Amino acid sequence: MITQTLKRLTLAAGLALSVVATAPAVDAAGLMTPKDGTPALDLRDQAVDVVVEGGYAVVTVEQTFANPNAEDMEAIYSFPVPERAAVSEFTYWIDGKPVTAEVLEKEEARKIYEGEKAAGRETAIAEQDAYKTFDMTVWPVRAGNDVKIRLAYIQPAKLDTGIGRFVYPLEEGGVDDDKLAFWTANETVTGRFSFDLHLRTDYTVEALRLPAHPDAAISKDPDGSWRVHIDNAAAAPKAGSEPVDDDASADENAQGHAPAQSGKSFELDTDIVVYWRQAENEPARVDMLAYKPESDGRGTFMLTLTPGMDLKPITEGRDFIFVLDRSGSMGGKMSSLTEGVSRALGQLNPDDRFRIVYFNDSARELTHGFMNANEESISQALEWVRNVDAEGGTNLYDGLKLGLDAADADRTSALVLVTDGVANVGRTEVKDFLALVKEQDVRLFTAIMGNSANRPLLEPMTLESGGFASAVSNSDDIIGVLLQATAKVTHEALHGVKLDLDPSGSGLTIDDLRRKGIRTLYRGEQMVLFGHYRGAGDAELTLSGEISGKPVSYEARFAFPETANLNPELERLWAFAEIERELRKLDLLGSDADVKQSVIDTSKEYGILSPFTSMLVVRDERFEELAIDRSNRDRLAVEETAREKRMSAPAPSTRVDTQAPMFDAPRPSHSGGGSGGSGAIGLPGLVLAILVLCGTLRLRRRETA
Amino acid sequence: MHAPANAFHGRPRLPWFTPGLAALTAALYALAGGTPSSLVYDRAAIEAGEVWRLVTGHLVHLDLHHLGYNLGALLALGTAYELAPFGGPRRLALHIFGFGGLAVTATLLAVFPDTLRYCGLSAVLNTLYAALTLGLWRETREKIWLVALAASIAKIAWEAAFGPIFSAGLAWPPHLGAHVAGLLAGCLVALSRPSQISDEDPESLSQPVSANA
Repeated sequence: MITQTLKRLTLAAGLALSVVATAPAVDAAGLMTPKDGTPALDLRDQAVDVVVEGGYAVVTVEQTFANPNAEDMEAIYSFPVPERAAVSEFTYWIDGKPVTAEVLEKEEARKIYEGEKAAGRETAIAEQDAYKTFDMTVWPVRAGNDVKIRLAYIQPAKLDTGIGRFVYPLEEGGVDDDKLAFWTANETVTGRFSFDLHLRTDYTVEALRLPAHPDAAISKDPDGSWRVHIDNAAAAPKAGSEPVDDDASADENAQGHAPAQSGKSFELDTDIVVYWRQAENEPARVDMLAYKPESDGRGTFMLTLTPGMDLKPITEGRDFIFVLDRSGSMGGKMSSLTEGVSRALGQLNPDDRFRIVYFNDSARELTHGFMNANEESISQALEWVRNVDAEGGTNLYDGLKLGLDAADADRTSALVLVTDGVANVGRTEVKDFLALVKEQDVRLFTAIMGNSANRPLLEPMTLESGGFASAVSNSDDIIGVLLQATAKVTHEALHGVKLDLDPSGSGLTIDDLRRKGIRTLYRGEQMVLFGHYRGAGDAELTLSGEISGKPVSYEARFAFPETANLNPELERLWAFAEIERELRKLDLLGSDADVKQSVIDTSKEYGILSPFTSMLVVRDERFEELAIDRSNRDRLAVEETAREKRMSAPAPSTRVDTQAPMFDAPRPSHSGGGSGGSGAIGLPGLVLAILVLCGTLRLRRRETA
Repeated sequence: MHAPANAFHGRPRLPWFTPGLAALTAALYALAGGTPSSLVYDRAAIEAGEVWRLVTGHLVHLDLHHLGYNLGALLALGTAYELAPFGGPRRLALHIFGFGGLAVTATLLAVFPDTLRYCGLSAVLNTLYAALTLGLWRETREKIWLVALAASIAKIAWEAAFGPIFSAGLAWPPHLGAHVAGLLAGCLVALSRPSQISDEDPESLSQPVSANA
């Protein structure tokens, strides 16, 4: 089947994206100061605390801003939007006491903020600038004084081919020219910077790795959980943890290290990327987390499928079309891009063909039609690529269209799109892009480079084509990205993915299912499904689709609990998935008041930030005077209680298909493919065995005669 | 062609090991189902001390399809070996399942570190098959048994090149390395026993062979 054979080029995508790994940072997170001579504030301290458990991460960023100047000032801190992050808390210390924010409509929140500021009262606001940045504004930072704020967000932490990845984004992508022209970012933490990650799981994790922070202190607790610590002040790893010895459980970069950058200031210009590798023998499985505080109330669940499917390697030749961004924001990345394309082309088979398309304000083809992937043509193409400069805007639509039009309908084709920017020239509507990729049976493999790329555009478009999108940070491990991309490229995939979840009896009802619109499940990919339920009891989960044209189906049966209270954060994760769904609708419709209102309502009900809402802090008495409901404060208290309870015990098992595993095949891994082997004698073996039996009986008769 | 030695003196023996092992294998499937996680060959678990998997891995199966073919082959080959003049139940237990099983798991551990899991009887059935075909050839000098052995080698080679012939659909593909290891172990078993027919001494054909020698 044609659509099933296109994966090899993900490798190219992975390579091309991994290209970015060596590119210099353009801009960084930090305190924003207008470029008009306004004196800058001092970013004194920043403490980042991350707990990864149960398939999601809770990230808390606490920081202090100081004002060394002679007049009161407003602090604006901006940092890139982390991937799929649901901001759940914004807290501002007023009179030494933490006051948590509530979610309001964006315009209303801004109006109140300005009013409070004008009245000289303490206030703070957290806003989302589209898909690009979170901006936190605090008033006032008194002359010669400091303020403290905290932001917390929750994000899913999925595995791919047994490798987990967490990114604390700090590098700004440099794609917002207006912002860059007006503001300058103070990215230096002058006091203490610390980053602590606690990885809690009942599955065995063999190693952790921070490719861009080799001096991070990594340790393993006696209960099997792992900790990462980065600090610019001399400090030992946390008590209760033991340094990782140079043994089989630690990889070459996961050994105990002394904390880095002792006593120095810390620059917020490098993403902190943490990888963890699950033990090879951890099985393919189904995990479920549920939150249902009352037996007669509504529950929320998160199902995570880690499939083990018999996906065979792909060997036949195909066409690859590289569509590469050469807009101005790619400036520091072109040499890396060239290297990535070079390595990608080097992976092609002699039977494969390729062509290369570039775009900035307009698009043009670098090659002249398809070229066979032989040494001579690859060398020629690379010479052309090396001579391309980055400049101009981003006409992504034209680039993509030219690439898609170049596809040969009679051959299996894949399109590798590498971009770090926004579509700001030509057609820019998401619906136009979706229509474009629907026109042709060409799968997209998209390398989303940097923290400010237009994920809301690139991801749905890639999924619509049945392809695979990878986000890449400058701090990513080039080899890690390569390995993950390779897994998508070299093997078959499950196409026409269908996931059904049905109650087995009358005591359980399930609704509001939300999942990423995955049509094709690639080797090593996980699937996450959120939903609501009432009652309790068994449900049947069925994953079905086709592998190389043959229908396959995997089933599991497990129970939904009557009550569960350890993971209240699931409600926010469900709400975030719902908001993502509504925003996609909005992209398709252009503008729709009902959909927008739905986003606002969900955002307010569940206390998460959205493009249409903000988190506002005013003095406690002002919340009362303004009749602002404190629902988020109450929700945070519930979450804090649950978190303390979770941390008091080892991470519990979340697997629900232990008794009757959903997948017979092992979970794929990078080393050897996580292979399982069977002793299957098969029909030929049986025929031969019967032949041997007949021969033996004949011999026996002959001898006994 | 040489005439075979008369190996069957006294009361004819009846196969008992083979039906017993078949019953055990079927019972394991009935009780533990397909791919029981605590019984399959699991490299990491074995390294962690769960050494019973070295044995039980051969006795458990993925599904009924897998079990059915292997049980059929076990009943045919095991019965043949128990009745063969050079075989018998003790040889079957010790040489084939003991030595053969050990050789297969040792090969998996030493040569195939990427094989994390394995289950099924067929690698040891390959030991049994090789020991039988080579043994029959040594007893009868009928070339058909060499052809039969070659057919098994050809089957493995085919599957290495083109994938499973008739066993497609199993969750785990046939482990060809284990099959080859089993086949070699069977050849060793067959060749380690003195032949009843000596090329140098045709008179040896008339010498009796004890049932379990």
